[in-house]
Amino acid sequence: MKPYSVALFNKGEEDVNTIVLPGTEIIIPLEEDVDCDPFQDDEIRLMDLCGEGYERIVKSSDPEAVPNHDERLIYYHFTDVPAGLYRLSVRIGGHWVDLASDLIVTPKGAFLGKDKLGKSAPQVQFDSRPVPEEPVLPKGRPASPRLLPKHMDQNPNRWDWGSR
Amino acid sequence: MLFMPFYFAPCSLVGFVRCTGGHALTSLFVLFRPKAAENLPEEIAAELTTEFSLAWTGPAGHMLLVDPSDGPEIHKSYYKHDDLTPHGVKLMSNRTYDCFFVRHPDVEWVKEAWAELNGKLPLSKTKDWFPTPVKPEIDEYQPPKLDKDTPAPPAYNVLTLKVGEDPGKYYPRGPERYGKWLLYKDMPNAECPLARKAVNGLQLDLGRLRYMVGAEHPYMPEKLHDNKDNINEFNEGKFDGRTINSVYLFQRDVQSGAGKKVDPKATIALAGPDETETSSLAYLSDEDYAGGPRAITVDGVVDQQTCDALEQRLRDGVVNPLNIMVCTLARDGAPKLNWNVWMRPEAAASLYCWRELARALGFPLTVAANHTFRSAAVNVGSAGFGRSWKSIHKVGLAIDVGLDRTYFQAADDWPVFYQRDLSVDKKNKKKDVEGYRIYWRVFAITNYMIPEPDSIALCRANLVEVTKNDHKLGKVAREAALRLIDEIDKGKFAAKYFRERVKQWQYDPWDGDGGKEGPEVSAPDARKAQLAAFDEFFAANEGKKGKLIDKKRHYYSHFSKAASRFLDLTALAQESNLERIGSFTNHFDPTTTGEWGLGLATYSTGKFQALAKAMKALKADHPNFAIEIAGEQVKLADVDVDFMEAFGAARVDCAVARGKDAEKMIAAYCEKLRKFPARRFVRTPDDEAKTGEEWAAAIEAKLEEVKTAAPVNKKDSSKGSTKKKDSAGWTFRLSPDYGVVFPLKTGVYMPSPGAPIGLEWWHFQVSSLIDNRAFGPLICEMGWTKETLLDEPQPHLHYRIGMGYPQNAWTDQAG
Repeated sequence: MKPYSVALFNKGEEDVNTIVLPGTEIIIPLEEDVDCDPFQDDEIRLMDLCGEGYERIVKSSDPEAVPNHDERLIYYHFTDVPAGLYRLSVRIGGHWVDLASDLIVTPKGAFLGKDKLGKSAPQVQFDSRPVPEEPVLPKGRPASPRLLPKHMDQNPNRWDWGSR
Repeated sequence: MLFMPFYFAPCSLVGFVRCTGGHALTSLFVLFRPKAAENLPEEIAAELTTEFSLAWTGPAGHMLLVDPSDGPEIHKSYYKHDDLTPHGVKLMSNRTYDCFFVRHPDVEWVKEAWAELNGKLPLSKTKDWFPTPVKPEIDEYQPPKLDKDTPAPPAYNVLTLKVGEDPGKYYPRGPERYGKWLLYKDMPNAECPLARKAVNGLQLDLGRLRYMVGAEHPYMPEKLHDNKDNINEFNEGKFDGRTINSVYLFQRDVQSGAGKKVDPKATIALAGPDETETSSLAYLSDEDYAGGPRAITVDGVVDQQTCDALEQRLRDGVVNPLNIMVCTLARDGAPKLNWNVWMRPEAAASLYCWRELARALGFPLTVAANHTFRSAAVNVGSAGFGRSWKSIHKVGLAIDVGLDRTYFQAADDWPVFYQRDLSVDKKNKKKDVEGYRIYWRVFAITNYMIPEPDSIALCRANLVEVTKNDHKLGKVAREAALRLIDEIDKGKFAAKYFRERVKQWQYDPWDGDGGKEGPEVSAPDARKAQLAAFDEFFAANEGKKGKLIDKKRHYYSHFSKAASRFLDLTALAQESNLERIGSFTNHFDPTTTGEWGLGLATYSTGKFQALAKAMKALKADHPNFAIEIAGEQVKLADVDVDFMEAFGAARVDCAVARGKDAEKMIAAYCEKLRKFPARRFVRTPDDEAKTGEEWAAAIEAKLEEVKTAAPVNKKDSSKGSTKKKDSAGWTFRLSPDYGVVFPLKTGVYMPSPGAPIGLEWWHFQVSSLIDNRAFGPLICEMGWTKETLLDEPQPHLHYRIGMGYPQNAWTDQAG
């Protein structure tokens, strides 16, 4: 079956259907605030390169930000990211500073430049415990399965990832 | 079930900058942006290229984002935060960044370069710049200890941009003579060997032109001593306060055309660590430089312009026009056992005179000078008991004669005696505003048989020879010799300069006067005792060789077997324009009629257990004694030494945060406070005081607040700035109130039978040049500048802060 990036009508159908953009979840691990200020947020922004189609900011106090104090990291989850080219920025001292300008999201995967992003948490150790051999998800919130937003068709028999 | 694919980006951590030699690069500007994938079509690459951001590296080499509104006092605002800054720049691992590493002291200059590179200004200063692609590496960072009593926080991983140690990696480039490094105070790469070599070269050049860069040798950078006792002060290869002072003064001289002309072959070519008295004297010149002013930026930065001026003055022999210092041997006539001491020419002339007179009157060892010049880099703005931050040593006009490490006896290569001068004590007891002082007279044993006429005649003949000396600084000696000859001729000589008997002072730290007069001894008896001591030493070391034995034989050879009189060296000092000073006391026992002794021990609040133990022991024996903390005296009777011993710290810190480790630490902290529920603890910096129980409750309440409320943004992040605040709201820095609240890292002075550093029988100075003069102007005559001494940021030195002297240095009298 040929994949499409949006849902199409079946020939002859007249009922209104919901268009579902095929989303991807991008997880950004960012070091916990070094100044340990418990009253102020860190923020990450994911914005498509045109700056018009997609822009989302996740704060460290949002439910999409999952802290792992043992790792001194906060995992910022960006869900339903449509295919496209993105800029990733972090807010520092009131200014957005780019972490990457070439984040590419496609149905085939996500890339930073030529490097394909992995499906396991990055291997940066913050303590002396050994690195787990099996890929693990950050604690606190599973990356999948995800609950689809309410406006979307939830018939699993009709809709599958990026195709029908 | 529908699954959404997920992907993890690499970790983003706070960025640090280190050189490949492992040194943290501080005060470095970094213009950086993520590098887009290569081999893309130009149009796409242009779309992916972002603007450069600007960071500045803090004290640990961590990257701090520069706000466009940050002004020239960037050092002041950022250093405050240390490594807990809220503005730490996060980098993404596994990504390459295009970077420009900029070494420059002026943030405004760097901002212009930033604008050029982002296309907001036409290329000018950056036209030849090319970015360095750097992929940050994972490195371990050990946060510093808050104080000695607190365990170090756990190390954690950071992302580090590693830059090579060669100057080609940095912009802008410096002068070729100094390895292409731009040199300035608080510069990055200060620890890198190539940069240190460049700074050392600069210091040697400045020293050759008689701008002060060192310590005891003022014109050589100070080396690290073998025992490392100057680990915090040595400056060989370090662009420190002394170096910026000399660069700044040099630039001012070049701009105004000031300078003295000397023969470069007799001076500059010979200047160095083993400089002789002859070459140092050759620097004394009356010839003003006639080359006139030259355009130069006066900002303490060594760039090509300053380097060119240095090269020109080195070539032409144009030196510092102020009071440059000269050197002489510390011991008269024993070069192998000797070192150089430096002082202003006026003091050197006095020492020369003093030595010539002593020699002429039968004491061939003459005058031993242990210590003369002291750098302004020590005892800055304050000094412990027995020292003055406005010392005459710092202005090159004081001489400490030969004393040994005990402070109460003379050096073993300079056998002299000192006794109390009662006539002077009485006078000064009334008028001396600092209280009771004891004054001294220092005596040696003459080899001549005074008052036999033949010996007096010999003295006269020797003095006549002194009047014929052609030493460059010999005028004082010639005039003094003439006066002494006159006194011989008038019959006043023997009584004025010689004594039959003296009473050597017996030091006693527990005496109100710091000791008492010893038994009266005659010169023949004292000489017999000296010779017996030498004989005993030689018998015990028969057949042995060594420097000490050579030294003893050298001095033994200068002693006549018979002796007649003591020679009054203090009287000869006065003839040489040198004045003595009296002892000063530590006032630590208010119950004595005199003043309690002169010994003192120093403890640090950093070693709190040792301090508590020492205070407890002293209080048991002497409850009336006082100690001194940060200039304030505190009676031991008022201090709870048992509480000190039980709690064991000057301050304990706690930062309230979420997370199980943090909460465990907070629980332990509160438990410690609750062990002393009724004791009072004072918080830094607001001085709020509560009991241990109350603080524990307050900390636990704050933790609950943090757990339930945090984190919430105080501003909508889409509008305006979200610059973070200081950490005061959730940190608790508590000092126990022991009857006194001890500041961190402070010296505590405590009465002790230790070295009587306040006796001062050894100190002589050229008072005529000092009387009623403020310290600041006097020290500036030596080659210091007010701008580099004051503890205030100086706008025309790129807001570099001076050495730390207070404003009152320019009003308070020296001494």
